[in-house]
Amino acid sequence: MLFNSYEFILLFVPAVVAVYYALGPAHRQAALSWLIVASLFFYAWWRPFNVLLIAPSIGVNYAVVRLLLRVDDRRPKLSAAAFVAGIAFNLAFLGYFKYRNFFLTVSNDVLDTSFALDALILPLGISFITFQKIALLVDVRAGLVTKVRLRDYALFVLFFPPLIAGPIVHYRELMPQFAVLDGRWRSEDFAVGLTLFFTGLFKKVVFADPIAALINPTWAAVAVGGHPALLQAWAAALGYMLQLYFDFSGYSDMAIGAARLFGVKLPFNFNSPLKATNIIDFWSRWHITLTRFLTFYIFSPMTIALTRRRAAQRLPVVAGRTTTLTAFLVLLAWPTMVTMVLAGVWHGAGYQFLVFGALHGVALVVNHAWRLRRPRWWPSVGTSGLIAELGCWALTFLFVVVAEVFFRATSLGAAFALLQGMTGANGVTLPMALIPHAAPLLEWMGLHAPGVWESGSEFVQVWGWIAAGLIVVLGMPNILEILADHDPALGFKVRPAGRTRLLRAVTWSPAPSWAGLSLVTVLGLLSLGRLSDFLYWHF
Amino acid sequence: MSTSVDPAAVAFQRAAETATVRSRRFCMVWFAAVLTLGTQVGAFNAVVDPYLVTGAPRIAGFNAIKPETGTHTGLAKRYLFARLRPAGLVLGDSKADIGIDPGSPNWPEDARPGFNYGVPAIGLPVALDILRHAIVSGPITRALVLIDIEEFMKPADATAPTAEPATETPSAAADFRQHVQDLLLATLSLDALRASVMTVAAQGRHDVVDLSPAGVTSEGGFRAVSAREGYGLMFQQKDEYLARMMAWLAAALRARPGAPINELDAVADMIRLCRDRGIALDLAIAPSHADYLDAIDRAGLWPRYRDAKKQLTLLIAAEGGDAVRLWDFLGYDGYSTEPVPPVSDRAGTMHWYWEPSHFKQALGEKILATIYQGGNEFGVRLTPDMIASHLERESNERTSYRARSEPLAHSSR
Repeated sequence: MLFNSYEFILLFVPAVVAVYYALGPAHRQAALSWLIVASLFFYAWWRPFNVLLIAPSIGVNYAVVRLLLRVDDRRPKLSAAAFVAGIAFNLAFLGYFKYRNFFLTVSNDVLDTSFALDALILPLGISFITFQKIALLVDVRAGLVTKVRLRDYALFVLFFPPLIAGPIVHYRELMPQFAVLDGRWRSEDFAVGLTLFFTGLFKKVVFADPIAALINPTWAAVAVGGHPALLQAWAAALGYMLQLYFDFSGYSDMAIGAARLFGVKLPFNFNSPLKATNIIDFWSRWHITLTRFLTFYIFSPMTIALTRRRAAQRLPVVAGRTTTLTAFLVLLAWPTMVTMVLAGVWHGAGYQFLVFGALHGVALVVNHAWRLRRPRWWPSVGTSGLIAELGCWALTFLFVVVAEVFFRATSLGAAFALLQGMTGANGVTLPMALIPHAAPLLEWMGLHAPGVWESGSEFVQVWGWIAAGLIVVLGMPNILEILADHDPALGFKVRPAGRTRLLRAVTWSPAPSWAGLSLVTVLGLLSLGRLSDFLYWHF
Repeated sequence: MSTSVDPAAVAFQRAAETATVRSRRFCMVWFAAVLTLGTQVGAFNAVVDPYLVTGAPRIAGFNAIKPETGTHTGLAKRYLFARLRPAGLVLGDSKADIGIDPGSPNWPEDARPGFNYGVPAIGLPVALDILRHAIVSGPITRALVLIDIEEFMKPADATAPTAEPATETPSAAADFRQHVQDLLLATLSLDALRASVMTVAAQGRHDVVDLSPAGVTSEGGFRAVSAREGYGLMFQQKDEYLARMMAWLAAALRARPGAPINELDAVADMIRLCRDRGIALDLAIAPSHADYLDAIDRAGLWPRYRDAKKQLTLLIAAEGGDAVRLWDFLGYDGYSTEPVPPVSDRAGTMHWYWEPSHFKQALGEKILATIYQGGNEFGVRLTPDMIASHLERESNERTSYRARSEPLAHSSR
């Protein structure tokens, strides 16, 4: 069931909320069980077979968790074996459904084998669900989680708001909240939840979907060998960047808002990422729960293990400005590349996702090197001040847009075709009315004589939406900042320095005037007719 | 005995209570506002009824003209059809949609009321589906299907599965779901709101699209473009498009030499369905301006064109016998060779065509007169006995037409 569907918004959520609060404090256990039943219904709605596919995985993981809790430190070998088996099972499960065809393709391409590629049914939300289960196994093994009951486990895995596409949540974040949930209605939770949910819906149906409709023809054309002209290619790349942001951050807002209707706070996933002034900053603002998962479970363990090994061998380790090149390469660059390549292929099974991850890995390595070496090699080059910050932002933004081309393209060839268009190699097309005005400028820039962008109104729409989207993402506070006084998400705080005059002017409060958001709600609801799924539901 | 009260705790308690009250009020105001706004939008859309889904009365000066049906033709016709319960049907693409009026005096009495279920850009398989769904609603006595010859000239996809068996009785649940979805789209949607505003704003204008209760799309849209740009430019633009399209078709055929004629299965299915249901079926090859034939000829597709007509004739005779008639209105005649005003002459007009592919309702009347009133002014019935001589005559006419006129697409008309 899509979050942006009539059945979810007008039937499912009202029904789940009504029954949950009707059971209330007097039947707290039943209310929590009701959430599990409703979540199973939600998961099965799309394809009931999904439940059968995912159920064995949930069962095996629960069994491993119970075993890990029972054997504890007294039987380390059994504990380690159970842990490794659990992780291997999850990776095999994910690998079979998501990467089987990719590995067979690689084998066919590289080893000249001829494996047949079968269409597999990908269980909905498999990547997110698997990550959460792996995280729980690691937390149990590390002693961060000491007690797991079956109903709690089912709630953790199935709770519907973050089930399909996150935010990726830890057991230790969710369970303490469920432990104190009393089924009592709290108006503030509801007010914040509604505001978040419908702002997210607005982002999805009023921004992401119309932008997608305008740029999809260009992406479809490059997928079948088209060569877009300069402005078409840039519109497709910039438009997709905005579509992805509005779509996924909108989805995350809706998930956080839906959970809040039950008094549960989820971790935040986006914090104005397109305002980032370097790529490290970008990843601390974009898909934040994925970043912290990758950092906590892949990057940090690798770095710690490698550092310990080098320290034992009395080799230099990372030490600020005095870090040696070898230490940097082994302890920072290598783990970063591994982590980001894995992040890339986590998003999808294809060469283009691998390139996407590798590009971000290289960018992060360069960013780390810059941070370590700049003060020593170029002490006079500053990164503060308006001009420097604008330059840093522009560089970061440009890189992110280019990398997203690989993320969106259906193949590497399609990605390169679009990038070629972005360089101007395929010429420029403009609406007839603009050609006389722009031709001299384009000639001066060394670009081919402009061709005709056939529909002038389409040109205006595409670039109008892109301009409007950029104004919103770059010029406005995000919805979590606007709601910051009311703990919109787990751990979200606005630093005092971040409380700009604009933010103070638009800070939310449960005043009747803010109920003007009902206009946003109605606009979102009225746009539901153009049904489209969320991009991250495919990952 | 007195109890000491912590003032800070009291203040905290009061603040919490105030926040709760404010939040509760916020929720109530929000809910009331959403309900009010949503109801108002839904009611406005339902009354204006831009897509003809709710069936609200058409009030002159308010919502009588329905310009938005031009982009939602299929949706609007589904509901017009259900309300009219016609005995006769016109099927086809935009040519049928705009060109044939089943309310005409030339439409047969035994098929009244007639309904035009032509929908832009659909092929024969979709028209067949429409017919399947239509006969569930009530008895249909006659159907006239306008066919586009270029659809048959395309290479049939050898890998495509054969046509699905007729789903003659769509489930009640599916129908209900579709109806709810249409109703939501037509009332509680931003698109509908925009369409309603545009509908109200368009009243009193004659240069906009409208849809009659008999399902005929008005010629207002074409009238507006021809007044703005002139017939010469409309022909020039369509000629350029046709040249590209025919070049693409020629390339597709070169890639698959000997590919069978397209959509013949759908024709056979339609004939069987009509025979089983006792529906009198007429198929008519839609007329086009000579520029259209010129585009076919210049792309080297004349043999394919002849083959398509011939195979259609043979198939229909084999499957339908005398009960199903095939008519040919596409060729060189006094209508299709009507001179086109030059691009510079925006005021110049034409009687029979809007552009090379779309004929006017005036010519549609001639089609109906030929098929149902025994007229012999325009078009001819194709039968296996005469198809060879007919095609030969057409080829000769092509030669003599080319000898006396410079084709438009490449001239400075």
